[in-house]
Order: sequence, then structure tokens, then C-alpha cells
Amino acid sequence: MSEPLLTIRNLRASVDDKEVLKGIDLSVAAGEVAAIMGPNGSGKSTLSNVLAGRDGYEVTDGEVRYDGQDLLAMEPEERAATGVFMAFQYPVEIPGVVNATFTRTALNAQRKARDESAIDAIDFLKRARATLARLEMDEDFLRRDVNAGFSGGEKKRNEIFQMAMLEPRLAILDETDSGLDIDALRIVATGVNAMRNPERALVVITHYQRLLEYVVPDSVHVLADGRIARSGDRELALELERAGYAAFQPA
Amino acid sequence: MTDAWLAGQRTAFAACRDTLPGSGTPWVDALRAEAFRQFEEDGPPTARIEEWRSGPTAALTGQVFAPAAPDGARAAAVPAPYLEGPRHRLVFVDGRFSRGHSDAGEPPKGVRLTTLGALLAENPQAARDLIGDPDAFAEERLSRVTDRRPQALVALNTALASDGAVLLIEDGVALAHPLEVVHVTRETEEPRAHHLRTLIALGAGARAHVVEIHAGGSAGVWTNHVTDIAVGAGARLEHVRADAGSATAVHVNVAHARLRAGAAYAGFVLAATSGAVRAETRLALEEPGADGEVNGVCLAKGTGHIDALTRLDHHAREGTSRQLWRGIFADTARGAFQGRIRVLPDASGTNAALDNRNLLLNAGARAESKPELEILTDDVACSHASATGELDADALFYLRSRGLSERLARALLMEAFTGAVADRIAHEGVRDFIRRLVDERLHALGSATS
Repeated sequence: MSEPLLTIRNLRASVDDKEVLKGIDLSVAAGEVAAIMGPNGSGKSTLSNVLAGRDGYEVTDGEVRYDGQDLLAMEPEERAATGVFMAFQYPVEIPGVVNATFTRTALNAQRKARDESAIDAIDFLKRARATLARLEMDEDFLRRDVNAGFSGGEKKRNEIFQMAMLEPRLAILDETDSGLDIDALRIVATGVNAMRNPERALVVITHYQRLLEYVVPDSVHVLADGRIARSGDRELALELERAGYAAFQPA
Repeated sequence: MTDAWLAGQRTAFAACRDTLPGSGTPWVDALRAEAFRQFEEDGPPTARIEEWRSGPTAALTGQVFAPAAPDGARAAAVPAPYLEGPRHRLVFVDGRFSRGHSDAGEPPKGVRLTTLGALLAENPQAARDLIGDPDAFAEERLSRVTDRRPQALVALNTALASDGAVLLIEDGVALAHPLEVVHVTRETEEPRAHHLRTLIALGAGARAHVVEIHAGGSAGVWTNHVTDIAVGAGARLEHVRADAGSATAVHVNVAHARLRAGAAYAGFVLAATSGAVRAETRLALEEPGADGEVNGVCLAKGTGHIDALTRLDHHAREGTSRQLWRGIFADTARGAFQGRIRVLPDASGTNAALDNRNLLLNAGARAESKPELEILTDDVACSHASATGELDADALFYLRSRGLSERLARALLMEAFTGAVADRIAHEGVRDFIRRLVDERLHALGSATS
């Protein structure tokens, strides 16, 4: 196998001078779906924020290589343009910015950064409509302001819609299953599964096992107290479902 | 400085009073003299006057701006028409009508589209009925002792007005195409003042869209523009005032509108400057069922200063009013919004709302918001909201994480912040123009920072 698409080595990070990530090692290959599971406070959201490049997180040691590049040295928009996508746990509401405008602006900003030609409004609309249909989303989504007044499930579906439109090479889904009812979960899972292909890696960060019933992972990693405590295959997730995280909690 | 400033105005008035429109007509001469006397009594605005507490008083009285004789010899750079599609266009250069640049078109029967100079020359009596005395638009005061509020600059404008657009529409007549009034001010070495007066009167059931645009200007220019408006019963006026990016030292823009029963006034103000702007809007909803809307976008950069003031007085029952204001301030610019809704004792059933929000792009920028509700009757629904903050860091990050550069993300959020205001403009062509202009000014603001 060639070099993994994403390699995290001894990643240490602090928030407000408190060390939250205490030496994470993890690699994810193209074509792989990796699940990162862990109890509350284990560092899941810190890990996703560090990967996305949010301010307020200080990396004190280690490195993150993505497709041969130093991911941590890049601005958030550079990470996006090079194919990294973060589906946020709490997508932001942006009143006054129309979803279609936003998604097309994002797509074309990324294409411009990659020296590709812009997608015109008509082609964009065609693609957007097909994607919405697949996600069982109303076309009205395009005309609404970004996440403004959306229900929790609509926000999560909007993240999946953007992911589908932006076609990243590495997608990180942060607690995408939280707050979803069973129908929304199924739709989101269908959207995620449609993204699986040999060139793309998916990292699914979750507290619960239930999304993994629909999006079957190739690897499962348990994050506890800022480190990967154990790695395994799908069976590990099922085991956690039965036994809980007690074995990984600090004494 | 104040004494020298006042003396400068006196000298200017003495020098140019015989050259102003209507000179020689006894009532005009008397009006101008009385107005100047009123101005002298009131004195120039100072921060001691409550309404001018946050106004650009230092910029205004820091130089002796004085009107000068017309100087037609110098060429003016007059911009191409702003509005696309059919329109009526009047252009004024340095406060005087420029026939060559204007294209009044053919207004429908029942519409009189002219200038103050022409009206005073041809039909001074009609003008007299419209202009009235300089204090006519002063608000009813709770008490002359405790709420004395001189309108010195309106009085000075009455004394010195050199010209302006006049739009008179008879009952039941609609002006289908918008009127574009452009005021171009040339650069100047000597400090100069331009006093402009627009008159708009709509008869019962009449309709019109008017756009007043200021362009040009320089650090030596003070423009003092007063627009007097009367909206007849059931009539509707859309009135847009926009600064097309001038560098004028001080721009004072005052609109007074009186609304009869069921009349509607929809106003929009775009102030975009690195100089000083004072934008006043005073509406009197004098009869039942009138509707007033006053919206604005204020964009200042550098050491710019925008002071927006609204006074909406509900005199009669069942009136409605809305105010939506957004301000963005960069660098060390400052903004102030003073918005007042006053509901007088006879105005039961009033419904009034005011919403002002400001964005500060840099640590040195400041904005203050002062909504005031004065409610003197029961059975009213009034609301006000105001907030000042920075661009939402979470929203910025979200946009950047999708691939937008920081600059693009900021621009998109600023457009979203102001877009809702421009969207309120009813006339599609005017709305499109204002959207373009706001985007252009936002771009200038964006490049001033980050």
C-alpha cells in the first residue's frame, strides 16, 4: 500500500493552556472509512477542530501529513482547496447568505485555487438538484439562507449536501449523527455511503455506534484521554456498544 | 473658531444674496433674511445640542466653508447615468442646475419637473406655498424651554439655497419612471459650501420614485442638502439618497416629510464616506393611517464619521413605521445612530419598529446606537433593537473551511449584513443600482482593512 492519505503522528494540542490531545497517532488510507469513537471529554472535538484549522487550539508537538503536505501549516481555505472537508457538529447559521450562492462560491473558490475553471450557474444548479434529490432534500434548500432557521437534522443534511457538491478527498464527519432521528440518520448515512470510493478517505467521529450500523467502517479507533487507546475493526465498535467506555475512562 | 465661522457665513450671505434664485421677489428676499436671522440666533450646531451630541460639529466648523459665485469656466466630471432603463435625470454641478448634463425626458401630464431657480423665476407664488417659513418643519415641542432644538442648518440652507430639483405631481398621477437627481461637486482649493434644496410634493394618490445621488467632492467641501417633502393622502413616494463614494469633508443631508392620511414614504439612505456625514430623516405622520419607512446603510472608513438621525413622529391614529439600519465601520471610523419614535397622544393604534445593528471591522472603529421611544398614548406596538459587534468569527471560519478566502468570506458576510436593507427598495431598477453601489462601497471598505 502507498503512503496513507492522512497521517497523524504524536499530535499534542492544548486549549487555554490545558493539554487535550496527548500524542495521537493515526493513519487513514485512501478508500478507507475510519471511525474515531470516544467518551465525552476524550478530545474528539479538539481533534476535529485542529484538523479543520480553527483558531484557539495550540499544537504543541507532532505533525499531520495530508497527501504529502503539512496540513497544520495551511490556512482553513487552503485545506479545503486541497480536498479536506469538515462536516461540523454545529453548523453555523448565516442569515443573508443564500445556500446556493454560498455553495457555488465555495466550489468556485476551491476550483480557482486549483487552477480549474469556474462552474457556471446552470451546471451548478443541475448538479445541486441531482444531489438534493439523492439526499431526499427539497429544492427549497438552495433558496434558503445558510442553515438559518434549519432544524438540527436539516443542518446535518446541509453539511452532507455541501460535502457531496465539493467532492473532497478527505472528509471528516464530526458527530454528524448527533441529534438525528432514525429517518434523518438513514438519509445522512446514504449520503455518506454514496461518497465512498477508492480515492477518498472518510473519518467518522462519533460517540455512538449507531451511525456505524449504516456506514460500516474499515477501522475503528478509540480515543480516550487524548490518545488512541485501541484500534480494531468493526467488531470493536460493537464491543463498545455492549460494554461502554468504562474500560477507557480514567480511574 | 465659531465667531470666525459665523462671520464667514455673514460675509457670504451679504456677498451672494442678490445672485440667489428668487432675488428681487419681495417674499423671497424677506424669507432669506428671516432665515439667516434665525440661523444667527440658533448659531452653528455644537455638541451641547442634544441632537448634535454625536454630530460632526468639529469638521463642520473647523473650516469656514462659504458659498462662492458660480464658476462655469471649470469643467466638471459628470458621471454617466446611474439608473439603467427609462428615467428622468436632473444634474446639478456645484449646487447649480446643469442643463447640458440633464435629461428631464417627458414627464406625464400632471407632473411638473423643474428646478428651484426656474420655479422662483416663473411662479414665485407657487414656490411660496411649497417652501413655507424656515421653522415650518420644526417638530411640535413638548416644551420650548426643555426641548429647544434649533435647526440652524436648515435655516442657513433656506437663506443660501442656490438651486435644487423640484418635483410637483398632481392628484392621482404616477411618475412611472424614476427621477435621478445628481449633485456633482468639484474639487476645490478654498473651503466651499453648497446649499441645495429639493422640493417634492405629491398630490393625493400620486406615485413617484426619486433617487438623489451625491458624487465628487473633496476635503474642502461642505454640502448642505435639504429635501422638503409633502406626501398627499394615499400617495406613495420612494425616496433614495445615496452617496456614490464622495470625499466631501462634510455632507449634511436632511429630509423632512409630511404624510397625509394613508400616505406612504419609503426612504433609503446610503452613506459611504471617509469624511463626515450627517444624515437626518424627519417624518411627520400627520394624519391617520400613514406609513413611514426609513432604512439606511452607513459605511465609513479611515477617519470617517457618520451620524445618522431619524425622528418619526406619529401624530395620528393607526400609523405604521419601520426603520432598518446597518452600519459597518473600518479603521478608526466612527458611527452614531440616533433613532427616535415619538407617539403623540392622538396616535393610538400606532405600530412602529426600529432595528439598528453595527459591525466594527477594526479595533479602532467605534459605533454608538441610541434608540429612543417616546410614547404618549396607550394602545401602541413599538419595538426597538440595537447591537454592535464584530464579524462573527464562527461564521468566518465556517466559510473559510469551505474554501472561501478570508477576504471573500468577510465580503460575503458584509453583503449579507447590509443586503436586507437594500432589498427593501421597491423599484427594481433602483434596487439593482443601490445593490451594486453598496457592493462597490463594501469592496472599498474591505480593501481599507485586513
